[in-house]
Amino acid sequence: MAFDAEPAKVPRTRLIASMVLFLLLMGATPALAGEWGIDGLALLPFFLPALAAMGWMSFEIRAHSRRRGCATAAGMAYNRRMLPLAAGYVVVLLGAILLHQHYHVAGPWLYAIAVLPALPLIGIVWALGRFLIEETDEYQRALAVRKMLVASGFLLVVATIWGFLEEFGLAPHLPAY
Amino acid sequence: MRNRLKVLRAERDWSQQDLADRLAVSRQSVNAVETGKYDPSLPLAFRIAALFELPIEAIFSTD
Repeated sequence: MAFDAEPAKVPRTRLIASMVLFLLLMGATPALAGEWGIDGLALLPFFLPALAAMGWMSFEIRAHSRRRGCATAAGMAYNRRMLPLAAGYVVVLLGAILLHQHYHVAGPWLYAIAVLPALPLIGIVWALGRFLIEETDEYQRALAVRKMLVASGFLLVVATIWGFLEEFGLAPHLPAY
Repeated sequence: MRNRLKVLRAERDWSQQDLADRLAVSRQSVNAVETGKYDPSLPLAFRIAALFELPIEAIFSTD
């Protein structure tokens, strides 16, 4: 292999295309479902294109990190775990909302249905933790920790400012979870 | 931290990916250490030194 410094820039077209497609479909699907009055069990297959786009984006992220030379076993494992967790969250959330709307569940069953969508999200936290534990490349681990800190800090700042605006009646209440 | 990784690599005709494979890290990590963006931990520094069969101070320096 030729002696190299930083290799030439890796093309990102497919990666960006997959991300744009996913965002578009994930945004359009609930809106269109409302517009076209799609409800009940028909919602689940209606979300399939968005979930497929999620799968393609996951594939492109893995391929891109391999091309850039930052792919590690732990990183690939994290990516592979995220896809079923994120897709599972969409499906379970839809299911919980549908069950609540159409079957008027009550009592302990309602508690169970309410908590179910939280489980995939808890799984995402688990996947993040597993990545930090499994990652043997110390630089990749340090990068990931810094990214998590910056993201958390940013979210805290936004939530704090928004919360105070809410207190003074200047902003609508947003479900902060 | 300044280091001679690039020179030592060139002497053995290793690419960054080659060195990364031998150290069991990613190519991006090798690049980060070489360009001084990241200082390796002691265990990694010792592994680098063992790979090139040199003391750590012969590879890394503070000035």
